[in-house]
Amino acid sequence: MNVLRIAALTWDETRRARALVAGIALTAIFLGFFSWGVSAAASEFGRARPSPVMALANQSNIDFASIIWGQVLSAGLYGVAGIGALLAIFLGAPSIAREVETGTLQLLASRPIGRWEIVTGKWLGGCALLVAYVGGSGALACASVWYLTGYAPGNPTLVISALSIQVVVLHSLTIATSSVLPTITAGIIPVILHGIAGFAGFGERIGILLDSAILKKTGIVASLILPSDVAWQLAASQAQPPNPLPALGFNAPMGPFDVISAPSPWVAAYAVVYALGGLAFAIWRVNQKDL
Amino acid sequence: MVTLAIETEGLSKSYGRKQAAASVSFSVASGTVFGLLGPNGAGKSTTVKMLVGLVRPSSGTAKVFGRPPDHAHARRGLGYVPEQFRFPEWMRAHEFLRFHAELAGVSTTDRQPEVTRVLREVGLEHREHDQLRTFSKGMLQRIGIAQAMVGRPQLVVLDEPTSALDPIGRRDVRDLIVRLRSEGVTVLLNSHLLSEVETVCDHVVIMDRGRIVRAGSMADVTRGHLEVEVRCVGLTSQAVRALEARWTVHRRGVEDGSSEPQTLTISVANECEATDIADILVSGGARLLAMVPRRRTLEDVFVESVTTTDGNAIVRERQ
Repeated sequence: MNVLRIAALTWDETRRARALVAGIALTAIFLGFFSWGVSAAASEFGRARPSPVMALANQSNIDFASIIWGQVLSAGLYGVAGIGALLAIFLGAPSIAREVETGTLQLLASRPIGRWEIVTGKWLGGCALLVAYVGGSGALACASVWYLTGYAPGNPTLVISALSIQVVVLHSLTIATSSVLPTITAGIIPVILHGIAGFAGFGERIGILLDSAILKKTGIVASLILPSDVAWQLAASQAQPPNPLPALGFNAPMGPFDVISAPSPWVAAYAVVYALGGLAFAIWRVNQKDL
Repeated sequence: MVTLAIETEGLSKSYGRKQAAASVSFSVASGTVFGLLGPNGAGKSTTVKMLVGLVRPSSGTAKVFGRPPDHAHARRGLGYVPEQFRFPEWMRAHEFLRFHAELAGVSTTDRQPEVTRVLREVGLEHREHDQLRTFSKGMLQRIGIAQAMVGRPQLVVLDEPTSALDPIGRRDVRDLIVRLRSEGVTVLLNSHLLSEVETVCDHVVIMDRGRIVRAGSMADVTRGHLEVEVRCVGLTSQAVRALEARWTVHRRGVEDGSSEPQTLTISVANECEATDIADILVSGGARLLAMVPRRRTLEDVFVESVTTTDGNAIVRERQ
């Protein structure tokens, strides 16, 4: 019960600090631009003369429009995932470190409430906000593309779930760093790790193209250290139609947002375990801490 | 049999090589007001934090109502105002208090009456619906005290509760502490304001450099600290020696047979000894100008206690 009280307090604080309103307003602007872009692309696509690539696709019975709109949707979801990742870190970094620095945690911890309840409540409140954010804005991006182009991913729920896993993983890591380090450092570390994971993800995709074992391993190792980019890859793979090119003898991506090889579903399981591990570490650390 | 609200035995806390509290042992009887005194860095706040379960002792034990402080049951009967903390200024006064009432285990139906009661206790009932960000520093301190009182705790720990209050606010808090005692609530008061402690506390502990340097009831601590201040002319060294043979005499630049007024401060066991002092001085040829008996204040005892153990302590404090 206390966990839910603290989670509700986190919601309330975010709402009253106008962070929620600002986030929703800016996301609305982003989704507005995105929809306008999709709309413009859809009308251009209808009027465009068939290119050699389109002609080749038609000859091979490939649904070229689905490939294009899958890429466009992935671009929108990439924006949602990027903003979600930053929000996960910004919400998580001060959640424990700042509370300790300002003495707020001392006041809470002097009440008949376990420290684990405080940490879990903050984690749960943050995760609920982030999942609501990526769930809402991801669903709007999917709806916008479907309405304007008629394209819908095979399983939108999986897309949203994978995006949610990404923000939960990042939020959990940040709460763990926030239980040990000052606010700024607690935020910087996940930003850098997430950047490295993203960079290694690109490396892995290039490795698949070049069939380079070292580059592929780099991506796998980075995914084990922080499975945030691999969660994005899972979302992107679900947002697009299956890649028909390998069947034609081309081991090439469908576009800049294609992941070439969809991550294993075990990645999602590992990411969930990783997130729970981050929470467990934060609880353990706060329990040990002199406040 | 006296019920103990707080009991510590050899309570110590070290941060690396720095010892914040060393073998602190004291007990606080239920329904009393207990003062914790000491200069900055004496280990008071560390001791208080160990008592409310925020800091783990390196060694020794602490019990609150017979249970370790980190036990949820011990904290159920505890209200605490930390020395420094930032209020969630986005909240309204009633929301903040209602939230703490929830955490303190106040039932849903009793929460609003409880919030109204504690706001009335600290004189802020008219600001119930205002956001905390609009409150002055003194008002926030009152709200902090109000949150410590929600759920009618049996022990209220106040860490510097009046540092931001004006004289009227301080008097209100003193009255509140007295009122809590009359209701059987135990109050642990950590304060720099010695006059405040002297006015309301039944027992006191003075700490310096992590150790208890003096402890006891307020009467015990100040007992034996009666002095007679004597102002006279024509004082001779022979008379001073006669006084020193019986009492402790503090003299400032006494000159033999000087016609200028001179002052002596003599520690005595009771006021009646003043007549003996007068006899010795007059028979020694001095003329008495004034003779004022005065009991030493807690401040005198405090200064003596901490300067005895560290000559620089008070200088540090006053800077």
